[in-house]
Amino acid sequence: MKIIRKDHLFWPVQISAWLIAALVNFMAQQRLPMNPTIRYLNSIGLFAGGLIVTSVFRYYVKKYGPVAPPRPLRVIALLLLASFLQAITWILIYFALFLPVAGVQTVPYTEMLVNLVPMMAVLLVWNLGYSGYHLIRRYHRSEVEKWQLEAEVQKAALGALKAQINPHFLFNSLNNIRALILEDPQLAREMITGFSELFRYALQYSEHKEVRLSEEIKMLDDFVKLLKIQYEGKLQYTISADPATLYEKIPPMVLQLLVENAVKHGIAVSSGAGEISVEISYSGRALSLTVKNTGIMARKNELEDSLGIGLQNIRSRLALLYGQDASLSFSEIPPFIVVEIRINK
Amino acid sequence: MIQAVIVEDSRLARQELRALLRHHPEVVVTGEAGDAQSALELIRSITPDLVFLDIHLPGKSGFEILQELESVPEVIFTTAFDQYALQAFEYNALDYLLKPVVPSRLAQAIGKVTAKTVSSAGKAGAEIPGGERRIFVKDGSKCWFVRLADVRLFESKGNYTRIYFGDQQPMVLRTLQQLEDGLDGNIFLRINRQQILNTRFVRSVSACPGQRLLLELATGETVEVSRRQVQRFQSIFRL
Repeated sequence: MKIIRKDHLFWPVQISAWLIAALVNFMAQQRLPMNPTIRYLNSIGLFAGGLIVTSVFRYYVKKYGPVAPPRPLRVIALLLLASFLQAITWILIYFALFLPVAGVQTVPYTEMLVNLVPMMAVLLVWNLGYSGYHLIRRYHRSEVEKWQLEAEVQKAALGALKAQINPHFLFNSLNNIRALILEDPQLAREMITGFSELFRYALQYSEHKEVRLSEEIKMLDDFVKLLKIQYEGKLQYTISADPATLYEKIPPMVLQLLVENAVKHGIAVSSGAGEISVEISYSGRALSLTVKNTGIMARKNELEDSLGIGLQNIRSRLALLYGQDASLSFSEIPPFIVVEIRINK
Repeated sequence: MIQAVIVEDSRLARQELRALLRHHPEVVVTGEAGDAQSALELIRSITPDLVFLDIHLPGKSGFEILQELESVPEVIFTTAFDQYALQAFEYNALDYLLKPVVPSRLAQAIGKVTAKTVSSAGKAGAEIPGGERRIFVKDGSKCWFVRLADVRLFESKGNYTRIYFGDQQPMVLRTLQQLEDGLDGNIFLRINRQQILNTRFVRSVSACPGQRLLLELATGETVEVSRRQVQRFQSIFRL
């Protein structure tokens, strides 16, 4: 994201504003019966002191971030305190400036102390202006970020839908069902029903952020039934889910993408039978979704197509929805490849 | 009659293709295979006229199977979704079917095969045996079905071999030695350490210092016969 930086404007504006203030002060005091040295020092003190204390304020704002508005009383208190401290510092700067001439001239110490209140007022205005400007800027930035997040979610949803309608799966299933119509018409009818359910689910839920785990598992069953007519005895599938987890919510089609990935790399490429097992349980505070398949990692890396997209998609959706609270990890526990998603609940 | 085998990993897909082929009595399915290894064994043992070959198979891809075959039958690829991969073919001596297969498309593909086998059967007597044999060559994303008779030169490049035919010269991951074992020694001759020549492409022969021979090919290229191979070369040409 590119925010146009306006920081380079700060110093020119800051310096010229204080210069102008000092000049105005100098001109105004010219009419007063005042020692010229004191008059010069007065204006120098205004310029230097103002410049220094406000720049220090800016330094702290930059370091700790602008005070956020959710607690307005605290904001006001902090700004008042800051102005007071700045005014005191400013006066100390004046004193320091006048120190060398203290023996020669009468220094208007009392007048300076009286100035504490107007100085605080000036500083408060400066601080409010500076903080306000940054708060508005931050607000704009967070708006832009919000749009970006939304765009990411949309992209993820579209990606999920695309993965769902994996053309190999789609056309192979249709081809297998066509053969089944001759061999086992009843099973063929069931498959067409399952196929419809699966696609309806994909179309309806792919834009949802989360779905209930029980629905996701039901859909996974349909998906596996269709896979089984493709792979028959080659595919051994088991699922175990802790009943307590069934009401938890997860991003839609995550399980399906993981199983599809497991089939592609564990079953489709091997000549013998392969095993896929899905386990859903709590592990501490986290919901754990594990998909295991027989296979070897090295072979996995050779193949690059929708798998990469599918897993990337899961990762980005998890990150958008749960931030640091979710993770996706790979491991190899021969003869299995294990993909685990953990979501802190 | 066309002897065909079906190579598909899904039983139902094989059955579906068999069902479709019932309308084509000229095609007789003599074997089925569900993975790459049994496909290779099957094709080597019964040398069918035609293979229906799925591209995605357990173990190897359909392309890899073809590359391993010493002699390639007619091939019709079947796939659920790879028409782009199939467009890579330079010499389109094949057809492909997308699953589920449209019956009229199947009829068309079989028509092509019938026309081909009939015409090559007619020529068979005139051809030198092995000349009609074809090999499958894949280099990067490009594929060719090449008649061995069209190949003029095999050239060793370490573990690879460059194959010269027409204006193409793809490289394949096989050593010259491996290729030589599958070639007809009466046509293809090892002329030096690096090259195997199709002797039917030789246009003229001239002597060279060091008891070697310089050959000019029909394409104008020149190659050298090393001293050690001169005798074998001469014995073939005396025939």
